[in-house]
Amino acid sequence: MTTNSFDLLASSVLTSNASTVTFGSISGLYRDLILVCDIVAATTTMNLGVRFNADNGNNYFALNMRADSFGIGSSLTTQTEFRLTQRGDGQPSTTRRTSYMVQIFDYAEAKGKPILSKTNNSSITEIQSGRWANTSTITSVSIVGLTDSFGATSKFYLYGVLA
Amino acid sequence: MSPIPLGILAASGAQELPAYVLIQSVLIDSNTSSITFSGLSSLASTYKHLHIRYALRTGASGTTQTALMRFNSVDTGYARHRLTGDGSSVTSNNDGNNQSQTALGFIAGAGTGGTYGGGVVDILDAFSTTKLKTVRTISGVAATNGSVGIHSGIWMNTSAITSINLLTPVPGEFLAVAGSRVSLYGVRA
Repeated sequence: MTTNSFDLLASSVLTSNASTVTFGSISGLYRDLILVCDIVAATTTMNLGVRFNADNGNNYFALNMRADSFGIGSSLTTQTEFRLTQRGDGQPSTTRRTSYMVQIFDYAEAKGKPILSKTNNSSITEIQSGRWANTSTITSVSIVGLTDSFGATSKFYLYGVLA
Repeated sequence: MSPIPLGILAASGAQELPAYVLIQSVLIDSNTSSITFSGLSSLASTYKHLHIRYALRTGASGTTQTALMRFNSVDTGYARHRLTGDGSSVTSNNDGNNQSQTALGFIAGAGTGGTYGGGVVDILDAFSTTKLKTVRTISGVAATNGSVGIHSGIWMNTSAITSINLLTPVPGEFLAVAGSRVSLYGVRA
């Protein structure tokens, strides 16, 4: 019998607030990673991002395109994490749950890692092309709250994709 | 970390059937001008859709480029619409009917110092013999003068897809250089 090529590697559903969620000891068995998040903020509207291997250097590029309450637009940024959104409307609040899907390509290859992401809630639709400018194998993925904590019931899922 | 199979349960019982299955990966170790997945008719009895994932860098001198895709070696009957962000503005394009190929999506140029473009492509009802074929792509290159985009394509042909050919739009140029990768998956429904 053939086997699935998309495997759920790990998941976390918060039962209390948390400032960071980390999936560590990621197997090198797969070719791509997919991170799916459904997030509500603990106390306010929160900015948030993803770091690989705890790298907080200025090594993350994001080119976004979005439609939000201000209209449509596009921007290119370099940041110390891969921001899951570049817009206030894309940030979760205590009442605005926001979903994110992040595709990380060739995470164990000795190249800069291409990234694609989608952000959706009642106020925005946004896609980003990203890149982690580092040739190291990704062994951990941390989702980091930058201005607040993740609220209880926030959900995080990490998938591996065979190739 | 032990993987947990992400399967679906068959409606008739507890037998687990894999939802996404790798068909073939093409790992590029030397410059190539095209990539072809062939012999796909054997998949029709098992899968409903096709899914492509890629990390590609082209031989072009520019930062980013739209790569192309055609089915069954047929050069007619394609149409596509694009929504693209370039880091400062958003544009939309209707590329019209009866194009010679549809869009694979954005890939990176060799001039960007090793940057690869990433993309995911879904080909819906790929083996239907009564439907026109719908293609959706999300792709991008994160770099100065890069792009991110959503492409919708259609192949106005009811033939089941038997082969997929990925091409560069620039004659004589390499579609993919060493380190690039394209993977094809079957999707059960």
